[in-house]
This record gives sequence, structure tokens and C-alpha cells, in this order.
Amino acid sequence: MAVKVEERVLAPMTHTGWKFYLLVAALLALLAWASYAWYTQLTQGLAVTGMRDIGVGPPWGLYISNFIFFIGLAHGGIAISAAVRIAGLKKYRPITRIAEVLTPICLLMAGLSIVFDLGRPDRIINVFLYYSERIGQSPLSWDLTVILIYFMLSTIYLFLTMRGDIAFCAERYSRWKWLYKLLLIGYTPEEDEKVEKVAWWMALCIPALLVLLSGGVIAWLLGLMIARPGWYGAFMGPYFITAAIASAVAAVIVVAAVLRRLFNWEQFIGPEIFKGLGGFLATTMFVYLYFMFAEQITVRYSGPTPTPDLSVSQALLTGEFAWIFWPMLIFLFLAPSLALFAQIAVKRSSLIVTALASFAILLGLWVKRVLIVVPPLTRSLLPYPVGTYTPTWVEWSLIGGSFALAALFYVAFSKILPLMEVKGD
Amino acid sequence: MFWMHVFRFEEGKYPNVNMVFAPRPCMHCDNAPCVKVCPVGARYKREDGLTLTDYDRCIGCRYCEVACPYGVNYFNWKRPADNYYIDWKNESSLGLPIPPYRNPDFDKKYGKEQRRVAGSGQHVGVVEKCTWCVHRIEKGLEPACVANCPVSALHFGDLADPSSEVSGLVTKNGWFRLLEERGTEPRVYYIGRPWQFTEDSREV
Repeated sequence: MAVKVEERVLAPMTHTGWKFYLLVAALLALLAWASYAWYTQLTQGLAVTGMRDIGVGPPWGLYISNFIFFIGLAHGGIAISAAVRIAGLKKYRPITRIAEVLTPICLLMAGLSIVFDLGRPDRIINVFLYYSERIGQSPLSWDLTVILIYFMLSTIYLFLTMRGDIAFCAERYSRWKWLYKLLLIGYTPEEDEKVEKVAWWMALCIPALLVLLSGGVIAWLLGLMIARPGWYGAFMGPYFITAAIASAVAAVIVVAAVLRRLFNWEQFIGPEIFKGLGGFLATTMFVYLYFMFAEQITVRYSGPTPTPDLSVSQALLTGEFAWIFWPMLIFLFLAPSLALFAQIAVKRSSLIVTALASFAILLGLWVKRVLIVVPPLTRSLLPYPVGTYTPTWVEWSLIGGSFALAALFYVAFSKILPLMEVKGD
Repeated sequence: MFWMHVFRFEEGKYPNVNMVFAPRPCMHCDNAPCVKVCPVGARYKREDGLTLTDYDRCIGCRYCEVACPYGVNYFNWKRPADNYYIDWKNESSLGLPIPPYRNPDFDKKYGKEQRRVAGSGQHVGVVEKCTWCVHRIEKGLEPACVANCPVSALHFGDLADPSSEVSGLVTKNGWFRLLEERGTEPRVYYIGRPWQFTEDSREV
């Protein structure tokens, strides 16, 4: 029996079917297309995007929105894993690594989105060369700092907690033996106990970093900008961290549901996991919706005198962004959150409903990031014309490319390293 | 590329309508938000108060543009030759002098800091803005906007020097600064009554 369980847990590494090749081919095709789009952007300049200067369009667009989205997603894995260790939520243990892998991958995609946005990506080294002189003032340098710490912490955490399983694989499989050997340098079976202790302390740091990143420097990237109506204010921190947690949990639900279906992991990833995460997601979304309401009423109460803040709110609720805002609010936020809540209330939950609702929320939170970034950049404190924004095929291709690359990394991981703890059960 | 934006808007209702022309160069703020946010120190404050961009260092993240309350930053979205009204792609056949993006003045290093200044669209993917014509004032000339204004609406000088023309104008007249309440300490003083952005003000 024990052998059978292991075989099923390691199925992604041992079994490779036509679906795998089809998926990889599709992802590579998408990446090739995105590379062509990037080549176009690098040779023609950012003029090929829909972004423009203040008074014409927004200087930041989909790339920065995508950056914020991926930073939010990154929290999911590692935060759930930290909760398992610190709060002793043993129930979620089977999905910890499935979730943890998301963190470093999403952080890489966030970094990539910033590189897409740069006019001179060839000079990116400058952020390190002049780091010491800028860290005191520039929120972008703060972001860089916290993201790098977060990336290192999450990678080391993943690596340490995986060594026992890698040793297990190294004994059984010859395919990636050189890699396993490399990762196992200095490994002794006795270290597992010590690693558990180290991981506990690292897990303790993770909530602090979560607050520092999404509730802190990412929110301050926008919230400290005195020039931007709709951004400036102390509210951005709590607002951002709520969206980050919601998107992260939604992503974990979607990924876990897909893997469960793909590898027939029904016996390992039980319905109670989805029920718990779904309920948590619904709660977080209700907090987020309340924040959205609080934000809007604060701005609108001062009306009808046209303040710059009000003009941003009007752009969202009745202006050129309304056709995105209202469907997002109703179909991607309210309806799925209510569906998740209803499942808890009637004490019956369907995995498909939970997964679909989570996917809708995930999509909604991507759209919401665009609606946070773009409208305040089309309005000004001075009477400039209102800026307009239509993302171009280059931007959509690069966004698609970032998701394809994230998926490819995930698939590669699943082929090389165990996605579930072999030793745990 | 027009770094000096001139707002033109009407105020009030008929018959009490007023037309306002409001030039907006870079304010060269003493507490400049753009300098603060720059992750590489490309946007810097010169010792004499000019706020300039070092085009050798700029990575083109456009954070300065986002952070500026006055909207004075312009990004080079296009390659230099595509960025002008005149098509400079076949420079020799045009029979014109060198294009502005190859102005040798902007290859020089300026100021005590000895840094090159983004000011003529030399590079794609970097941010530029009004430099108060650093290449002219270093030669002892006035900024081009001051020198060329047909009605002498613009004046340039040293406010710290009480005998300068601008000091005289500011002490004799009422003045205001744009978005003073944002705390950016702009260096541009507008003589006269502050503009009223009422519900009726409209850009024309």
C-alpha cells in the first residue's frame, strides 16, 4: 500500500503522456510569440504600447498592473505553508508544496513584468549600482529590497523542506540524478529534524514579510504619490494586502483543483481543503468589497465639486472604465464570493463551484489591479486633457507570455521534483 | 516635443469671461517628488537648484513621470529619428543642419556634478523634461523660452540675489506658485492672481 501511495504522489515525475507534450508545445508557442512582441518593443521603443505621457495616456499600464498582480499571487503558497507550520493547520499539509512553488515563480514573473516596463532594460544593473544612494528614498528600491529578501527566503524554505524528499527520489529515479546529487550536497537523514526547526523560524518571518511587501512597499509605490488622485493616502496598505491574500488563496485553489484532476489525487487533496480555503477566500473578498465601498464613499461624499479624486471615481463608476468596473464587480467579485459563502451557509460544497468561483475572483483581481493603476494616471491635478488607454497587441502578448512562462516553470518543477511531500504521510 | 505646456482655458460665465494662458515649464522643485522616487539617481538636483535628468543613468521606469504633480516629464517612447515632426531618417537628403537629437551641446557634461543632461531626445527609452536650457544658461544665455517670448511674459534669474530682475518682480507684485499646498517648493513663481479652476474652467 505504501508503495502505491508514493507512486501516485510521484506520478507527475514518472508518467508523461501526450497531454503533457501538447501543453508544453502550446506554452512554448505562446512564449515564442511573446518573444517576438518583446523584440518589437525593444527595437521600436515603448511607442508600440498603449502607454503615453500624462495628459495623453497613462505612463504605466498593463505591465505594472501585472507586476502588482504577481506580487499578490506570490504570497499564497508561502503564507499557507507558514500557517500550516505555525498555527498547526495540519489539514492543509498535502497542498503546502503545491502552493509554495507558486511563490518563487510568481516573484520571478513580477520582476519580469517590471523589466517589460522599462525603457532601458539593458541598464537594469543601475538599480544595484546606485542602490546605496537611493534606498533611503525611492519606493522602487524598497520594492526591490523586499522582493529579493522574499525570493531568497521562499526559495531557501522550499529547498530545505524538500531535501528529504529529494533524497527519496535520488534513491529511486536515475533520470535527474545529477540534479538531485547537486541539491543534496551535505545531506544527512538526521538533518530533517533540524530543518523542521529552521523552517518553523522561517515561517515565523513570512507573515512579517507579507505585511512589509503587499501591505507595505507595493502599496506605497502608489500610495505615497502626492501627485496622483485616487492613490495618495494611508488606505493603500490594508487595501493592497487584502487583494493580495485573496488572489493568492484563489490561485492556490485553482492550481490544487487542476492538479487533483490531472493526477487523480482525490484521496490526498480532500474536499475539506477546498471548503476551508473557499470560506477563507469568501471572507477576504467581503473585507475587500467593504474596503472598495469605503474608498468610494469617502471620495464621492465631497461631491459634486469636481475634485481630482472625484474625477477618478467618476471615471470608474460612470466614465470610460465603467464598462469594465461594473461587470468586474458583479460577475467577478460579488457573484463568486456569494457562491462561496452560500456553500458554507448551506453546508454543501461542490469542488467545481469552488474552483470556478476562485478562478473568477482571480481574473477579477487582475482586472482590479489595472483599474487601480490606470485611471489615476489619466487624470491630473492640473487641467490637462483626460488621458486615454488602449493596450496594444504587444502588451497583451507580453502579459500572456508571463503567464505562459509561469505555467512552464510550474510544469517543469512537477516533472523534476515531487509536488507533494512523499515522507509526510 | 513641447516641454513647455501652455494651458489655455476660459473662466467664468458670459459676460464675465476671462481667458487664461498659463505656461507650465518644469517647476524645478526644491522638494522634488521626481528626485525622491528615482531608483537610480538619474533625476538629480543640481547645487544651483536645477532639477535635471542624467541620460546615461535613466532606466526608463517613468516613476518620475508618475510622481510629478505638474506632469512635466516626457518619455522618449519612440526612437530619436521618429520623434520629430520632420522625418530625420534620411538626414543628408534633407539638406538641413544636424537633427536636434544630435545637438553636440548635449554630449557635454554640465555643472559641478559633471553629468550629461537629457534634453534633446538623444536616446529612446529615457525620460526628459524642461532643463531650463542648461546648455544655454551655462553659456550665459537666457533659456530659449525667455529669450523668444514675444511679450516678455517669462523671466529668468536668481531669486537669492535681491538686485536681480526676478527678485524685483516678485517683491513688487502679488505672486503664487502652482499646487503650493502639495509641499513641493516649486521654483517657478507666477505673478498675479492664482488661477481659479472652477466648474466652468475648460481647456480650449
